[in-house]
Amino acid sequence: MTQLKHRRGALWALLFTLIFLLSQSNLLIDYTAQPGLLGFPNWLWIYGLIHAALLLVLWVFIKQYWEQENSDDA
Amino acid sequence: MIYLILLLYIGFTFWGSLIGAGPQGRDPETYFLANRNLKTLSLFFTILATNFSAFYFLGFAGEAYRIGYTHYTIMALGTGLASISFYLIGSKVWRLGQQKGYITPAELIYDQSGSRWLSYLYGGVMILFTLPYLSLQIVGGGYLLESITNGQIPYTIAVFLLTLFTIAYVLIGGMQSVARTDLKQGILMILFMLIATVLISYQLGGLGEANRAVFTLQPELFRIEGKGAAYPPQRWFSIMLIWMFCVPMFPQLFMRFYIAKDERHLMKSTFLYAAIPIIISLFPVIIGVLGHLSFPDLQGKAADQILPMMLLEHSHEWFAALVMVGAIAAFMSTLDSQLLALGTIITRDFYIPISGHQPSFEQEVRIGRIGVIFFALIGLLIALRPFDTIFDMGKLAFAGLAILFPLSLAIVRWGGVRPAFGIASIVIGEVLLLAFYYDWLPKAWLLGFEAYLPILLLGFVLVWMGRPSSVKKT
Repeated sequence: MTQLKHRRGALWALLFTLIFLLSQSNLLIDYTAQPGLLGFPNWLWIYGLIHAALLLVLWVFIKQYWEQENSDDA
Repeated sequence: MIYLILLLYIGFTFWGSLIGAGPQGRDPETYFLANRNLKTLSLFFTILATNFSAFYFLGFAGEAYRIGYTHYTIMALGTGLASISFYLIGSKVWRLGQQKGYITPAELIYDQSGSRWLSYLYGGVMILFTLPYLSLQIVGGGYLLESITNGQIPYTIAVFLLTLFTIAYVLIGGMQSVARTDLKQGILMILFMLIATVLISYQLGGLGEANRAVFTLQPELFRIEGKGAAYPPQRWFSIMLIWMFCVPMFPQLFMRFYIAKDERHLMKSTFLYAAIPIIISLFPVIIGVLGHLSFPDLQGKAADQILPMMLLEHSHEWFAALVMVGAIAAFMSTLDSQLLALGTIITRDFYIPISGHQPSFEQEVRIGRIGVIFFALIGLLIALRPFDTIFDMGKLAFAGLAILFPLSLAIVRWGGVRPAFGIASIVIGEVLLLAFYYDWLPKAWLLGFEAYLPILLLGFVLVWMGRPSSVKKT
């Protein structure tokens, strides 16, 4: 049981690290300054998507964390 | 007109929240922690109130004017990432608070580490580095009050008035009324900033057109590294990380972890905290960038005034006044949380252990109130002569508080830390931070990273070495 918990913890840590690494994508990709939709630079929308990915992972994490806590309490 | 709006707004947000606060606040848990009973929405808005500060309204717009849209991404995504540490630290802090009845952050540190010196140091650093951030609220309020009254209330008088008002409010209310104000303030300010952004964009020919016009004038504002390459990769990496370490260490926010009704409400608030910046951080940044179309030549600290200048230029006077009065009230609501937190810390983490006397609730509140007045006056003194731009004063405060993170994580997640290692992580960290800030050490040693990053790394190494299990093995 503890091992399973540790494995899950490592998986979540990996996912959050991946999101953080995506936030550093400007190291590898040369984003241009050209304005796109609504006049914002295109990279701003890409970072909006990375933020959305963070929210998705966080939402699932919180849901699972809460279910896990409830099952532990039971 | 402006004075009428000022009075009505303050009446609605502040005095309305005081109703009923007096009779409920009869014990420390109620007065300082709203009876540990806040549900998702109240909890979320009272956490968000920490963001609705002068740093957000004036600092974001000013920095966006100086460096461009990159400031949005760094702030919005960085704040979103901070929610991860709300889980790492916040949920454990909530549980320990429920079990042991802690009220201040340093009470947890003392009880878990057994070291009074470590708790003094921890509480002292929280106070020291909250002061510049606290003074920013007064600075921002002073700028705005001077702007909306066209200088009829000069900056010096404005900061005095705002400080006195906030002192009075905190002394009467306590956490219950602070949380009520935060909720109303939060909802109103999101709406006001949205309307202000739409109005200004419309006046400038629509958002797309206005952005393209700025791009023609200043294409660097649209580069991901910002104007003048303000965010090279090392700095981008550093600033993206700082929020994760500093936000849970704000004393007023750390104490919010105790006040959740249950862990589920805390977790839901955490999610909202990650989600909302994607929208709200954009408003002041858009206004700051579009500011180049109306006020093209602002330099340095002068850019911190771009938000009120744009509002007065592009909207009706009454609406500009309403947004700015709302912003002032938001600064005051951040300030009251900070003052209440510092007043509580000075009473419970310093006065009680040093005097060895357990005061009654009335005495405790009285001592806390003296602390509130004392710290408000220090904030006022700093505000009378701000030592840096709003953004950089905030950054120093954030870095100083972030240095407490490794110790806090070790205490709540790693089974504790030997006090000597905890003390070393804080003392060495803060000394190094100040040495880099005041240029006593050459910044070239940092290889382009912000100073707090290697300092935090050192802090993590020290507390890891000081874990009780690692000491037993050696």
